[in-house]
Amino acid sequence: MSLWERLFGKKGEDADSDIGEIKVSKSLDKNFKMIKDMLEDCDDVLFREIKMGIDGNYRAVVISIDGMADENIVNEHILKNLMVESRIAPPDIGVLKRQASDVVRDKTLSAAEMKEVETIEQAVIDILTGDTVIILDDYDKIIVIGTKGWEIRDVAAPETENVIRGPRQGFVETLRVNTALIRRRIRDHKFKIKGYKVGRRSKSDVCVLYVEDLVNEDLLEELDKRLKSIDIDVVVDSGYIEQLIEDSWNSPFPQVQHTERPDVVTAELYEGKAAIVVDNSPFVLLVPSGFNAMMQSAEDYYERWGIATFIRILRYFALLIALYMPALYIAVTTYHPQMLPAKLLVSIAANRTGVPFPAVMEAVIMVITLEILREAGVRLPGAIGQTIGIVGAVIIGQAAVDAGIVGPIMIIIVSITAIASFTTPSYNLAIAIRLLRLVLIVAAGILGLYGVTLVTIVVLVHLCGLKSFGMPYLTPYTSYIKKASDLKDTFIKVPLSNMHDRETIVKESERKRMRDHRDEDLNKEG
Amino acid sequence: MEGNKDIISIDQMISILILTAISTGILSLPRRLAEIVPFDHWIVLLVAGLVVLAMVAIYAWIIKLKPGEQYFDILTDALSKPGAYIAALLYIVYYVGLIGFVTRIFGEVIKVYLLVKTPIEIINVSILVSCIYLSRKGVEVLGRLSMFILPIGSVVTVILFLLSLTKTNFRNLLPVFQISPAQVLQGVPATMLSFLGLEVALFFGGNLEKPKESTKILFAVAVVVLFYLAVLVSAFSQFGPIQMKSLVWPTLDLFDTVDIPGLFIENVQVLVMSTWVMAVFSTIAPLYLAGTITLKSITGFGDQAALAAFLLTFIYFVSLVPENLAHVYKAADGFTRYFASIVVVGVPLIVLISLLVQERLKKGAGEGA
Repeated sequence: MSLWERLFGKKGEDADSDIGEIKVSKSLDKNFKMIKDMLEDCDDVLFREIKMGIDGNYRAVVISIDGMADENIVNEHILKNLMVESRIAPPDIGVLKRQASDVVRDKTLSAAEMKEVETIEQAVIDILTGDTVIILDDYDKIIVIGTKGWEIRDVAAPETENVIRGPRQGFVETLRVNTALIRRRIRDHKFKIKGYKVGRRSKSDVCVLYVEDLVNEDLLEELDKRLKSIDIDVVVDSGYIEQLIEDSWNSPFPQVQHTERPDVVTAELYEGKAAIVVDNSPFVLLVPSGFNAMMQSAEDYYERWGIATFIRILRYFALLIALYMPALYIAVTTYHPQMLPAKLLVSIAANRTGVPFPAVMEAVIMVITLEILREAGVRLPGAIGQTIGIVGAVIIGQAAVDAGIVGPIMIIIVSITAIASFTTPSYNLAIAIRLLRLVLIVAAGILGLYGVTLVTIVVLVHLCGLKSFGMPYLTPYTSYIKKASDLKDTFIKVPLSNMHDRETIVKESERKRMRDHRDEDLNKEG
Repeated sequence: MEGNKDIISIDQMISILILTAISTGILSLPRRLAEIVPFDHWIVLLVAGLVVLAMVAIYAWIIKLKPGEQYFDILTDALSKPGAYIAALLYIVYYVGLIGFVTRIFGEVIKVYLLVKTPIEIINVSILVSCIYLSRKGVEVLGRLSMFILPIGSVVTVILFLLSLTKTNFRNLLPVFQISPAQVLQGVPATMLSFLGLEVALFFGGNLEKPKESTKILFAVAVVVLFYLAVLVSAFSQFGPIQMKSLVWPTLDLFDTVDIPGLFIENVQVLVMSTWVMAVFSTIAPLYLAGTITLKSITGFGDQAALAAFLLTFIYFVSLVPENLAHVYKAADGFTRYFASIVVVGVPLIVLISLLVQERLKKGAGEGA
């Protein structure tokens, strides 16, 4: 298989096996009719009947889709060659009669990507993929030429994972561009791209990316099994794949990481992970990924370790605030006022005089309002979204306090919680946290601090039982004692020069990834 | 790659054991010691620690002799089938009793410190139900959970101790070395109550990744003894042996009022109580799991959650039998002295001797042939 085909994952060998009951026949008219019947009422399909040869003795049909096939290639390299060039240099009639296909395929068409298919169904799929199909008279195969070329969104900075420092490239909706973005960063022949076709009807291209000697074979096998077991009509986005291959579909926690950044994918590939690129989706999936990966941002690795560590700790702290702050406030004010210092207690009580609801209701009202505002802000266009934020946060909040429905401290707490929850780098983890926060609020309302701790325990048990493709979700927090260095890239980040080893999912023999630069520098100076 | 294989590393085993041992016993340990011996409580603790060390060494030896085997199978090997069933039944009764006791104390403490008006039944059932959730998941999840909780718990505990140091007066520990050996022996059984639970090592030993390393579980005992020592020293140096007798849960009173000028909170109860709830959960859960595993091997019934739910009814009942706290402690004392000691020390000792004799015989037979 040529590099070209590998790169663009055109054809998964296994995915094709189930299609193709109708063999291509020798008769052009028969083949043509069959394809035409299948593509009836598809007005974007172009059928071009041509005559080749010096006297126009040989018939052929060129089929492509308007808008998906690159017009330039079709016109310049297929039609022109077949119709014009073939007349300039008359081939030996005898040869042409016997091997018209060879002449066309090997001598006439100047296109890089080409293959032959033997079934009508496969030809139709290729047409629908954006390739151009040539049916020759008196030949029992159909020639397919890679002409995929449609409008592609420009590679732009990713919208969801902003960094101050780091590359400003994000994935787009076209698989071949996405894989190329990663390939550009890795000039390593061990980096493999394996193609699949998923979706009974949509036949979407899905590629699994990995570095051959780093990735765990069990992971690839499992991934292969899970991808092949998907039986769905249409795959619209990588979100479909994510939900269909994840370990535990009823957990609120995401077990597959998604990213828009090619640099993140590159780095994770060399930590022994596998990436899944899905056509028509700018989000690439990474497996296995646990809690730790979801708390990392690309930028952590581009800045010096002290700053990165500080930001990481800050992020974990913000996560705790986002989870617990409203619940703790409710628990302490409702059930355990003795836990507060007297002065603080008086201040809180004074603020809450006149508020008609218990603290739980107050919190639920505010948190739900906030969620509504957030949802509204996301749906609205940028400029109006900001207005909603200001109207919601400032005006409604102030009015609610003035009206005496909500205490000012609750407003402060809910606002801090909201801001803190934005620091979680992974969007899908942040959603899980938001859900859990509501659960905690209710638990605090029913059982106070004990309820909060109980929910925490149950969530921890759940997290400890969770796995992402065989890797425990809380790795390395649940198995670090053997090697403390497993914690090097968690809530702390040690200097890059100390991160000699890859993550623990990589094979033992391939752990080493870097020479110790530090010793060398010291020697030089000394 | 599917699901959990129920294999734990030795680190996880040590974490489980440490967290299992530390629970409700810690709250009353200083008082119970103060009631029995007038001074030198720490010597009593160290002696008890040595006894426990010997006990756990027996467990480690058994695990080493029969690597990778479930405890019930080991029991069958050592005591024959009927013997194994009787022993397993004893263990189940023991676990029901112990969990019932721990749950009751837990409920009482929560009622005093956190939820004054909530019925104790709700507190008891809620913690037990969350343990069922863990029982369903198995040893591997428990191992990871313990490994996760332990460092966080340790950090919080160290901070709490540092905060409580402001009021200590080490003169309260005087005089030293005045205790007689007889008094030590009197105090040891009362201390043993705080070490119950370590025998879960036997039940989880078969799930160890490398059974040859099983002797490392002695490390867990050392950690627990050290921790108790720290609690004893700071409790006695703060309250003195006389005042101690009148405190129901001196360890909690230790952190009751931390007074550090400039500190945002003058009350660290939020931290203390959450940590303690975690500690109790991580005690009840392993015990519960061990009980469920035993029940599973007796009945051969596969669904762990159903078995755990079945046990719940008994545990719940046991936890509500004593009328008041004094009864609870009295019953617990009798339970430890007469029943637990048989199950925790007696049965494993018999098993070990039987295994060693069998091995000797086998070796003799091998040499003879």
